Amino acid sequence: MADVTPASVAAFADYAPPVTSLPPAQPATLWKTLRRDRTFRSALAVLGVIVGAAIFAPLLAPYDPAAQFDLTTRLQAPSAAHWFGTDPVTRDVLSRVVFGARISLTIAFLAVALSLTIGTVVGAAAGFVGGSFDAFVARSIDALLSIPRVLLLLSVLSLWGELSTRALVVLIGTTGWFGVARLVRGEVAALRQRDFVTASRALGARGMRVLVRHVVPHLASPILVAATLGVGHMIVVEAGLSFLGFGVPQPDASWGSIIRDGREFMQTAWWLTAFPGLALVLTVLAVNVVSDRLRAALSPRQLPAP
Amino acid sequence: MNERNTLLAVENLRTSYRTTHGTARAVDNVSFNIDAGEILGIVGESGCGKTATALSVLRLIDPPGRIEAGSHLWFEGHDLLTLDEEAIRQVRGRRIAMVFQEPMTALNPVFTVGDQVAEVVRVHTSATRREAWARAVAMLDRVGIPEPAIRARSYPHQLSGGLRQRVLIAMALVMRPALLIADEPTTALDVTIQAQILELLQELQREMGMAVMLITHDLGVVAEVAQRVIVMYAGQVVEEAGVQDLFSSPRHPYTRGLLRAMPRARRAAERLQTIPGTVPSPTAWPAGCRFRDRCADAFEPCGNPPDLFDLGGGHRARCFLTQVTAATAPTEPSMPSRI
Amino acid sequence: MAGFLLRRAAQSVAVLFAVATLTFFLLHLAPGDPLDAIASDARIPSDVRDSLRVRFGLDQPLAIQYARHLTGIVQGEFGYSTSQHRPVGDVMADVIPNTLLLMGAAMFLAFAGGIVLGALQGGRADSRFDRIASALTTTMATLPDFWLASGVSLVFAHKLRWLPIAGKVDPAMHMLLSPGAQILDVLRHMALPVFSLVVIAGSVVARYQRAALLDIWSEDYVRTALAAGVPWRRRLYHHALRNALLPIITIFGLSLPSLVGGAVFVETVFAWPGIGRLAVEGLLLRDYALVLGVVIVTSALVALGSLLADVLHGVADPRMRNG
Repeated sequence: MADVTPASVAAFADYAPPVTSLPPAQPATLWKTLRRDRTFRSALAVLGVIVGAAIFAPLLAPYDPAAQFDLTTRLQAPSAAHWFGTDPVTRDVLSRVVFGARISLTIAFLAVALSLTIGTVVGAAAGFVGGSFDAFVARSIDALLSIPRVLLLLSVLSLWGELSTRALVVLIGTTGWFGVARLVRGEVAALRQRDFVTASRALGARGMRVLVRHVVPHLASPILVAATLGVGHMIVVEAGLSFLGFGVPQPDASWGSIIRDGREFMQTAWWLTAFPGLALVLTVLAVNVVSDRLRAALSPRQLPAP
Repeated sequence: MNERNTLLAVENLRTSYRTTHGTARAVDNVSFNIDAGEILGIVGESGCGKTATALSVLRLIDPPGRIEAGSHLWFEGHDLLTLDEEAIRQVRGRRIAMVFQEPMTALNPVFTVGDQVAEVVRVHTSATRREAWARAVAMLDRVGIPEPAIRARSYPHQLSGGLRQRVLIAMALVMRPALLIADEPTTALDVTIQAQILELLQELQREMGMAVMLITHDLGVVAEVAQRVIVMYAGQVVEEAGVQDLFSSPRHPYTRGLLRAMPRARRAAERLQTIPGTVPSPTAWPAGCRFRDRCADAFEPCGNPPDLFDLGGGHRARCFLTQVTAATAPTEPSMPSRI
Repeated sequence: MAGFLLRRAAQSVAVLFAVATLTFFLLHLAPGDPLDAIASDARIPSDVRDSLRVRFGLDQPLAIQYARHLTGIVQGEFGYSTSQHRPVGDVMADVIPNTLLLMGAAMFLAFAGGIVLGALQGGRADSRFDRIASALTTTMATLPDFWLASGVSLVFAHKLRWLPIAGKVDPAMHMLLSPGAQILDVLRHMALPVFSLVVIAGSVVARYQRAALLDIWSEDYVRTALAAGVPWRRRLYHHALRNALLPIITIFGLSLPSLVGGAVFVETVFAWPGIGRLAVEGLLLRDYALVLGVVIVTSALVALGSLLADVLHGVADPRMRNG
């Protein structure tokens, strides 16, 4: 039985080569670490393929995703002509999945951009201003985070009814920034105590300048990780809403809505739900792995102080 | 009483550690003995390999570090390096015990200190829970913890640093080991507490007749408690001598540097001297004498690696200057042959 | 400890207050007013509509309405369900036990299984077993709950026919069964939804547990135990695991909202008569008093759960007990 003890690490702590204590937000170093990371590379490749498919969907998809054929091609199992089979109204599932990538990814990216912007602004403001404003924001974020996301979305949907795709992005984005705000607030509050910020304040730099010049670069790493993680999360949230029937309005179809369309026929035509689901899982998995490796590369295992 | 009874013989110990910058040989061919019942001090700056040596003795080195083949650790008739996992486990804590530097983090925060001392008894004997607890309380009493029966039910965070270090000593000594390895046992403590802990260690050492390997960067501590001293530098033993001998006639320039850097009451007015430069990186030890770059007395032969020359009377030093007699000019040293 | 709990309880109340406020403003920002659903019917004369407005207090100033909204929640009044023609409180009271049963079973199994798996992995970090288990839990943790639940239902209920497809009990037979068989009937209906939830939540727990254990494995006190001759097993299961439970308890509190979210989908797929499915149904029927009621009550349950997690944390960590 292998005896895994990190005592050795402690034993050699005073031998730690200086490189491990480099500040993390160094793009060159980061890229050097990640380039050697095989898991990261394969996840990135998978992601590249999927994003490529979304961008070049009209070139790659074998058929028009809305094209309907004669009724003999209804609910066909995967074949050479239709790799992912056909649906009840004779549409080609592969083409729908490829075009679905556009909708799913676009919504996710835009919603992440929106939530990162709101979260960063609110979090940075709270962390930088401090005092009772900060306390209020912190408590509010805690409250908002304790509401199950799905239910929050459902309650909004119940009041506003069906939403356009654009409104959906806004809704998902504006309900997704609480975690980011908490993260940024914590980082800013911690940075505010650090010497270089205190020093530049003592030298007379104005608050805003301090924020931009010193604090923002330090936020890059956590925000980068949050962003990648957020993309995966947003894809799932949108898919969930579409699955429940409150997502992307027809005729647009995200992966979630394709799964919903196929659910009725699940027993006879598994390909209707399996392929969009696999696309979804593969994308989210790749994004999460990228995020995970990124975080690992940004915070190399700290050796205990000698 | 004068007969030498070797308890632990460290032979050609080499411990290396794989880093992204290549292999670091933290301990490079170190040999020394510890006699039963003696206190041996091991001194050196941080990064000289003293902690790695101590951890190697208990085989606490794990990947990416390893003890290289050809090393031997003779203890009570066995080479510790050949023991199987269960056999070395029975040595740890029972025959050889260790006290670490950081009393604040070395105790498990979620168990009472009594439990942690009793656990050592339980994993090494067939004592019942009650018996083990009684022994733990007795040991806590012995290391000078007031109201031991009550304090045994305390959690580590409820005790001061000094008391925690006493608990760690109790854990180490409850099985009456033959050898105690103490790695900077007082460094993290207040000065007044330091003296108390050292006194306690000396007292217990006399009473139990155990040997102590005391690792420290503080020559003052060594002067106070040790009988024999090993000075380590850059993974090697550079000088070994009785404590009187070392302080009265240090033979290695590094030892002399350490002594000059040591504050003394009667020299308070003098400026403390420091050794220029830093310990070289273990991934790239310099060729020849490893102290050469920091040594004011370096001369031509120092480009070759010096042996640990025997100077008689148990005094050894790894320096070519020891081989230079008054009659010989420093430019023509005897060139030792290396095996 | 008592002071800490009091502070935490006050925080939970503040959270609920915030949720109640949020739902109130959502209601009033929404187009139309809460009576539109029933009152838009042209057959209802306008004086009836007005009297309904008065009855529900919609003619009052916003501040008064807000105060009534809050006092209503405190008294367990959540309004009237337009789809079920019953008070929302009564509707929810019927289904909450079902959700608690499902979630309780799923969470117990997910945490028990996840902790054990994570501990086994952490103890043999980077072994083959660990690598395979890591790949598996990473994948499982990303599976969307509705997709996994659909797949599980397809394979085990539709194709293999091992377990029932939907519901909590067999609609035809349940009342005729003996008490023991009735319990078995419920268990058989629970199996698939619980399994779906456990696969995902358990994977998440295992990942956290493994990470926590690896962190703790490099703590000084684990090395102290090693140097004292404490066997590997005991170091892992006694010293490290006991400490690794502390972050897991925190995770338990933090993951409650997403677990409840998962229940919404799983309940929908398996037609489990719980609060999540109730919300989805209410939404489809434009019954927003019901939806908002569900949001408030679920948030309260989540707040209660994280309070419980903090109490557990206090019990498990001696440093919290008198700190």
